[in-house]
Amino acid sequence: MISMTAEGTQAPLDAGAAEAALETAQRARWAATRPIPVPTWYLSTIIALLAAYVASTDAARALSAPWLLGVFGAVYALSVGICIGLLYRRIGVVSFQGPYLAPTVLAVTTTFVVGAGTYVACAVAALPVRGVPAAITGSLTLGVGMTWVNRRVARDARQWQG
Amino acid sequence: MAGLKGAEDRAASPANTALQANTTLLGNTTRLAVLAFLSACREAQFSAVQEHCAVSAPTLSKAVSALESASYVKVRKGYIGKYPHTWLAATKHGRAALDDYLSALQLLVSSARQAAQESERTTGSV
Repeated sequence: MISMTAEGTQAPLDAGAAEAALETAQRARWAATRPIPVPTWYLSTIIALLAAYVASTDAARALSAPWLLGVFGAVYALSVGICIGLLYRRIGVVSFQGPYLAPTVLAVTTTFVVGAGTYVACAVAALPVRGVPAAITGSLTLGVGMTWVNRRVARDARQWQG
Repeated sequence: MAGLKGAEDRAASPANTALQANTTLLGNTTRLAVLAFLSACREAQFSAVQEHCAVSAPTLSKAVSALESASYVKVRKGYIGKYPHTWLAATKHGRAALDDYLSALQLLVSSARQAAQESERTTGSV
């Protein structure tokens, strides 16, 4: 057994201690890049508020009340600000390099694309109701997308735990 | 005994040099964990590192000071809203030193295993 002690430290120069140090470093590296549980409810709240805002265009048209859009718009902007603030506090502790961020961004982007696509399709088809179908398809897409992200996170965690 | 002979053989190797140069600093588990954690991300909040290392703030602060004085870690202070926060990041120099140190440890482990296998083979043949 090789063992050397540097001044003021316990030098891990025997094979067993070296192995333990390697494991410590590996665990620390993994801890910094591990996917954290996706804060689904923050994102769901943002999307639900957006859906409400989009759906309010139908209501505003039906009631001939453009001020309704203003009210919904203000509530939406305020709520998104709060959600982003909370989200930052939750995931902003470490600058992640993407194991969890990329799939979440993909899921949210797809949600917006599907929602906007539905809205445009309804407009092209000259349907009187556009916001509600857009909100429904967008929310369904978000549900499927976030389930996929959460499964991916769980799978990565299981792989680490062996 | 094979281990001692192996140690003499490795005395002048670059891996051993890296090991000896960094053992004083990275031989400490907390400092090693801090640098390894930071090497895997661009930067991290003090509290995130503290949570991972499961040490008190003063202990982590001492570890960070030691790493900072060796230019292995960079400290940035700022605010989120009105609350002060501290961010830590590994420097290029720190990342390189960690890689060298871990490679040297890996070499030590594999040569010890090899020596053990050879020893078993010799004992078995006698």
